[in-house]
Amino acid sequence: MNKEQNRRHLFSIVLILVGAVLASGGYASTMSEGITNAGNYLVSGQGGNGAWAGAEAYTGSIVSGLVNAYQVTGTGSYQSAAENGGNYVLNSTGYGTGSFLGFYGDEAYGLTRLSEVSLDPGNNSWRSAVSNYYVSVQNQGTTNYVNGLLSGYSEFSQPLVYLSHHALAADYVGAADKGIWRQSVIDTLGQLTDSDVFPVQSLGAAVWALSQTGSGLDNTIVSTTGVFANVQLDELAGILAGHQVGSGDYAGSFYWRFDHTNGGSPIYHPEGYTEDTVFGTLGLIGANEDILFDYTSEIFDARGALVSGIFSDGSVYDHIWDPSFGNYAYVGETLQVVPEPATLALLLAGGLLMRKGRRRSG
Amino acid sequence: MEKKERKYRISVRTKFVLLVVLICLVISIVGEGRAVAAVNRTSYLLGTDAANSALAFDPFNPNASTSSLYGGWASTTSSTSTSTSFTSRPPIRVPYRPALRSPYRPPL
Repeated sequence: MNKEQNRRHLFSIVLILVGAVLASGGYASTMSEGITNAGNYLVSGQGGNGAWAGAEAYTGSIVSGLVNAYQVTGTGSYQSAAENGGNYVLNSTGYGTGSFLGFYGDEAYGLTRLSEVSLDPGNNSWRSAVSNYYVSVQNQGTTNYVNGLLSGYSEFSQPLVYLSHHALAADYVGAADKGIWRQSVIDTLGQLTDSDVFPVQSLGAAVWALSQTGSGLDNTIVSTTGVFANVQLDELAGILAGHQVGSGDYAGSFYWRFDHTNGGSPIYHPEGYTEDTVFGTLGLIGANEDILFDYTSEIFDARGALVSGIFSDGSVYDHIWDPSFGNYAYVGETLQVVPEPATLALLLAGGLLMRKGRRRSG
Repeated sequence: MEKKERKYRISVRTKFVLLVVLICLVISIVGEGRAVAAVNRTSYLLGTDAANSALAFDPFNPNASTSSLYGGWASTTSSTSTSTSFTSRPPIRVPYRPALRSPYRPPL
């Protein structure tokens, strides 16, 4: 056997090994299947009014997920379904009427995602709706409005998730008070503890928002007291990454609480919940845009965990490994974390290079 | 004698075929494991009504009907109800983790 034959055999073996990894549930093949299954599930499950039964209040998050799926796959039905969802948000809130209710944070953010994929991102009805909403808020006093939002809760994590979405949406449309929205994220984060409902999840949402608005993850101090006493914004991504499960059955997901326990409640897991992993990953994705940080492998692991939670029919449940119940919101949120088209293109390019190499050696 | 030794020598091609068979076996075993995992997940789904009910109570809105919004919480029960499905719930523990965040719209 000459050297050429040796090379061919070696190359074949490598190809087979790669195939074996992919066939056994590897990342690249299941990522593509997962996006398609989840996207199709949302398209087929959408009601005639543009909402999803049982997830009406989370339409904004589902819209954002569908826009991501559309950007990655180019599937027109995903964009259409996202637009129908956007119209549901406008109609259900009475936008354009005298009794406009205002948008939830994820609704405003979802509309900005629709704006981004519209024909003219700089001038379209989605952008105008969001922009007009923040003007209305400004007219009554943005700080008062933020306080009103916080007063609707008896804890900080849930409003923090909404405020984070607001900060991103306000920043996108260049709202006059976008700085107030960003500061509200910092202030609320400063009060977050394990006594709140979703500590790690809301930390992830906050890092996601802060990394993409204003001066990013700079050296601003979060708080002088509490869990984040004297912690700088540029330390948050590292803290968040420290709440990711590094190994074991639930590797890639995120812990629920800062103390990594189930809080003394046997009915809960300490880790592995879909939403904690979604927002934890979004936080790392946001931080990763900064040249100072590199969370590529953590993001890779988290995406792998999330995609493994997509059932073959496209449904997604509250916990990646121990599903109790499903909701369309989980599907939309999971789709928000799928790789950007550039990442998928790299995977494809890698495959093409391998094929080219085989032809040359043949 | 030399000829006999040669007869039982395994060629590179045969080694390669054996390697492929081995890899196929590994794939098959791993695939089986995944199928078992899927069955386990389905079993879990079918047997967790009680766990679902445990998540049905919303401490932020204790008198609310838990009909639809928060991810399949008990379909027709109310936290003030004395129906069987309510009493079958485990006691609410602290900390409490709802299935989904509660949306709230401040007046505009």
